[in-house]
Amino acid sequence: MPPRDPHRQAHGRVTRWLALCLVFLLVLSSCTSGGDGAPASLDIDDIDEFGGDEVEEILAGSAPVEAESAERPAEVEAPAEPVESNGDDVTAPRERSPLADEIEYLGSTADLPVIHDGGPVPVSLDLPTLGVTEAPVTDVGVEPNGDMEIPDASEVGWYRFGPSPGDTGSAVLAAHIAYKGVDGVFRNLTEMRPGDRFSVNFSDGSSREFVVFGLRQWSKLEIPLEDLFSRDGTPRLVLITCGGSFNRALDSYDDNVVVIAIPVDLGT
Amino acid sequence: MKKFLAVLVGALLAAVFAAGPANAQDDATIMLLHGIPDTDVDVLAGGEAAIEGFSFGDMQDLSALAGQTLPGLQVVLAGTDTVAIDAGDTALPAAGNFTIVAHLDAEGTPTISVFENDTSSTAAGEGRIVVRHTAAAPEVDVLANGAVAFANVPNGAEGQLDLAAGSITAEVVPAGASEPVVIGPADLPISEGSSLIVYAVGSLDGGTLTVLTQSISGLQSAPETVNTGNSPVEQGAANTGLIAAAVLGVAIVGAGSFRLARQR
Repeated sequence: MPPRDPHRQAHGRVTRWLALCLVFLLVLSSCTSGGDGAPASLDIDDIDEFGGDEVEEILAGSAPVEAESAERPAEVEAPAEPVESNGDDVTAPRERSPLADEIEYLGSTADLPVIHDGGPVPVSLDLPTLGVTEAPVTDVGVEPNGDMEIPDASEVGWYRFGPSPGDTGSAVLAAHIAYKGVDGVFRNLTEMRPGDRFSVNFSDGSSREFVVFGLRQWSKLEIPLEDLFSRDGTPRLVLITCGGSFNRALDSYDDNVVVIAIPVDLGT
Repeated sequence: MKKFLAVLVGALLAAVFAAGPANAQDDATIMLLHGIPDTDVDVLAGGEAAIEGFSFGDMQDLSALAGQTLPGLQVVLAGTDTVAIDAGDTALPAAGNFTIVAHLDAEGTPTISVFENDTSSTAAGEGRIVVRHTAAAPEVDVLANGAVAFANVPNGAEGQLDLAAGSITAEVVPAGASEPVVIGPADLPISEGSSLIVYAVGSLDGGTLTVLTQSISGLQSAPETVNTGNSPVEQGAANTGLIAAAVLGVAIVGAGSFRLARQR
């Protein structure tokens, strides 16, 4: 990456910190307001209150800190001194070109890339708000037609090419609202409210708590999937199901409903 | 109506802002790869040392010099004045993604090839593999999982494929033959959204054939659609209609329009 304007960088950092503080305040207020703090019904004002620009920033992965660091492999210092050859007739030390400062040594390419083993993966999901307990989570990829693979009604699909929930970027868990006449795990996803907490349980026995930040509904033609499936930025988790009108010609819903959440312990 | 207009203005603004980052990505990426075995070199520009102690397999990032002309570029044996490659004034591209490889030609003479790297998006679920023949060897076939993936690849040429993410076993054999296997078999990861570039380097006669690799990540695409329901629910879906109209506007166009709308 070419160096960026330091002022802009500093400004970006301040903005991010402010956003982080905001996130914390919101999380804090949602925690301290007790279990009944969530609005009883979902209407536009509630969405405005909780789901405004903060959600967009979270969605875009631009809210808090941390994520930037992992961009490039650690810089390896080029050998500073020319290697002494064994008493051979080395001519006088050469002038160092100013270009040398612009060239970055990236290390050797001789090792084959390691086949990535990956860390713990999500295995189940608890959504207390919806009375969902240990819904099995299975890792999924892409159908031949390019759609995200979705398991049957009783399971949740984790998009395995994206981050694991809680890792950098936007992790995706998707489940049916209804499949072949059977209610899916996310049948009542629209009942989730900002401030609701839920847990993801992982293959290593650990679990992580998330807090709902916002709820969105998009036409499938408009939904910003590139943001929802982004590999960069603030750790965030999106829960996706269907909603809106059911199109009987296509056997499909017109919209997606998305819950945007962040780890409760983000930044600690 | 006012709110609608505000949202519309916001949408336009958002579109303008969205154009920004796309342009920023046009910044050039230029890598320099050393693909000549057992030959430590220095790279000189106008007689001054730009890179010292550059060894086989090493990669140097020249991106900060994109668009510049490097005067009197020479590759000399490390610590000597023995010129291995005299490239003269060398203009670096100002945009695009390139790898400049110092390697042996088919006859074993040091040369430089410039490859442009394909950084177009890969389909969701797929990764890219690129193979480049930069070794002192005749034409080769590259086998993937035992089948010929690239046939009759001469020195200086390349081939590429997008494949489902996973791993493949790759082997390099003389063109038209199934043996001897001159490189490999090697297990190569096909990472979703990444391009793995494999350089065959070294010399067949010298017994130094091997591979170097370069990865370019961040090429991924999101799935086309998330279809999470194929049967209707009684009334629940209507519930969601409540949030549809207003949220659509607010959410799609982003934070800027949201603020605008709120000020009304």
